[in-house]
Amino acid sequence: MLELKNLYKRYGEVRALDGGSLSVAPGRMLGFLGPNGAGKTTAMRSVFGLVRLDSGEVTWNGVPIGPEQRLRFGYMPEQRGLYPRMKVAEQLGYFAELHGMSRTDAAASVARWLATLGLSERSDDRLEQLSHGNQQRVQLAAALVHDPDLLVLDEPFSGLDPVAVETLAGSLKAEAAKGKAVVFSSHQLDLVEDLCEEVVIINQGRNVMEGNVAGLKESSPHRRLEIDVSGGDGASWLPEIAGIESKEVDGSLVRLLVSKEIDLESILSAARAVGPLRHFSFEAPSLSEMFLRAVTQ
Amino acid sequence: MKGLRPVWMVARRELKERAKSRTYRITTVILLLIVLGGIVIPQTFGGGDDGTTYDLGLVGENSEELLRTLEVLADTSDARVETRVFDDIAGAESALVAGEVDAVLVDGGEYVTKEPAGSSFFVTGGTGLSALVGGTVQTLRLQDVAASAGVSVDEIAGLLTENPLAFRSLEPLDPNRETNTTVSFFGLLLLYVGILSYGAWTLNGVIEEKTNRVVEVLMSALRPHQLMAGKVIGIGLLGIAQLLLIVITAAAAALAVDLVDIPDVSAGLIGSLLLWFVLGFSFFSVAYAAVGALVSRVEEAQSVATPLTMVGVAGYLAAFAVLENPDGVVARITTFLPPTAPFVVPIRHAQDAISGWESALAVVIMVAATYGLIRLAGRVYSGAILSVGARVKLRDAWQSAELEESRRLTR
Repeated sequence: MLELKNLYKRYGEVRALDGGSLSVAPGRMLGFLGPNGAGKTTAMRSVFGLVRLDSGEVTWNGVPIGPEQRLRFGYMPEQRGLYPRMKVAEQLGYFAELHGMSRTDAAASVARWLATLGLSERSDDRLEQLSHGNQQRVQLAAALVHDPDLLVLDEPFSGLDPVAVETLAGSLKAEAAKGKAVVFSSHQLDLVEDLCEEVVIINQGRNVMEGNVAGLKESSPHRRLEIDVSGGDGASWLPEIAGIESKEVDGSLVRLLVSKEIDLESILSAARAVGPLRHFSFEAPSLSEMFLRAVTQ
Repeated sequence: MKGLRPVWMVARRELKERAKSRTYRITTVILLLIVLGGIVIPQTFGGGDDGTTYDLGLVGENSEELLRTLEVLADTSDARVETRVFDDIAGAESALVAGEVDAVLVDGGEYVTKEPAGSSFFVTGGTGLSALVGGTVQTLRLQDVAASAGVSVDEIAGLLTENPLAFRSLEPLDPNRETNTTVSFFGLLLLYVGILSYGAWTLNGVIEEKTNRVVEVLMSALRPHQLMAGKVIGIGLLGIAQLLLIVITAAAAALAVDLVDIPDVSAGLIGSLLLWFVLGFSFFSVAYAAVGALVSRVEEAQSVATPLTMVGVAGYLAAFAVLENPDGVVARITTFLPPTAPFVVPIRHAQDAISGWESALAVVIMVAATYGLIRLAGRVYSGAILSVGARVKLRDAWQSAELEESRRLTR
């Protein structure tokens, strides 16, 4: 179990971390979200001793993290870095051995990961000969190759095409299913919504939302309501009732942001009075909407 | 063992990756060609014995004895005189004008040159060919006079070659001292060249991980001083390998073309030279690694390296000062200073001017200083990474690392 508690870090006048916290248990995948400059990278770097915190606790299974524990962690840093001229397989083998694997185990693990990520044929190429997407896969393999208990991935999906995203996402899911704790940051919120059961959203170094994604959506005070009525033009038929926060009209389609407790019945009957319903949906907001609301409040 | 395995793995990667690189292979081949060419070509095409060959025209009566004596004298001064007989003076003079001969000897007494002879007879007897011919004529005349006075040629020769003084020195004669000193200086030169050439490799090698940003991945698996030590060992071994290859090739070539003989030096001195080469090379490599830790980009490397290079030059120069006075205060102080000791101790050793305890203490200080520098380099490195960004001041990097260290200890 990885726990970051009450992290504080100032760079001069800038508060990079202002009490932010997160925790992730084995077998779980945590989406770590926040706008640029929110402190995500600083928090993730703190796990690897790459930042000197002003205060805060960084623990693994309740023990402060030191060099010994870090050998069992895998890290994909925000600023990607590998040896450009080293061959892919040799490079991954080197990282695996540095993390304490024997040479035989390392070679086997490298072959396995290259196969999983579709890079087997490139194993003897120098890294610089690979495309950006493939380099990114190698970077992920470098975080995974020593079979770590914890994966900390800073923007693992940025700059990847949808096929590569699919491959990486699948690998991460499989790793979590094997009992690894996974935490990753991303701006691709739809992807996070698909992949993660839990999220932490930070802004200006502080947690602004955290918890189970389904639970968060359920407890949101807002709902998205969409109604399409044949014969309706615009939203003139809409009754004047409490709980409508904003509306958007697209021909006969009306999109509303409403309170969770709105009187659905009266809206439904007003719509039916205009004509037959073509479309009606009442849903919790998406993670993107909750994110925007959380960080702009 | 746990702490050493990563160090060796870093070193092994450095060795393998660099040895594979085209730059390393090409520079090694070029250096070998230069060294081989520099030794073999002059020996093969330059006449080998370094002697000068003169062309002397002969006209009229020149005795067999004169020519024989001329040959003997020329041989003692590593020269050769080719003679060419002319029928008359006119023919000889036109050959002289045409530059076919250097001078003409007429009837064993007149020496004809193209240019006025005054300048070449600057000192008694003149120089070059004129001195040889003059000396020959002089010798023959002396023999004639001696013979007519009843003194044998051998007696005269004996008197002239014997040294009339009896020599006595207060210190015992050490026939090897000069050879020892020469060999030591050659060793120092290699150390100096090694430090200056391979220091830059280490410096750039340390910056490498920061430039290609692999450092964040590495730091989750390595302590900074392990990375430093591995780099220094890997790059150092590769540098020493290249240097050895070149030196052995050069020595083999020089022996093969009879340029030098194998010097007669004691195993003790060779051991001292090797030991201090390794100590000095390690110390300076580690120092280059430490200054490399301060910067993040290769472009900044040169500015931080310059002061260190000056220290290396100063150490090399100190050896010359110590040679003058191997027992003096300067010698004693510089023996215990890590930057100068690798240059000074072998020189004092070669001169038999260092005591056992001084040698031992110098080695201990050197090893301790190198170890300390590795730790310092590691701290500076981690400090520089912790405060990402521009070039880090040494003091800031140190303090940053110190805080991190104490945090780690108090956890």
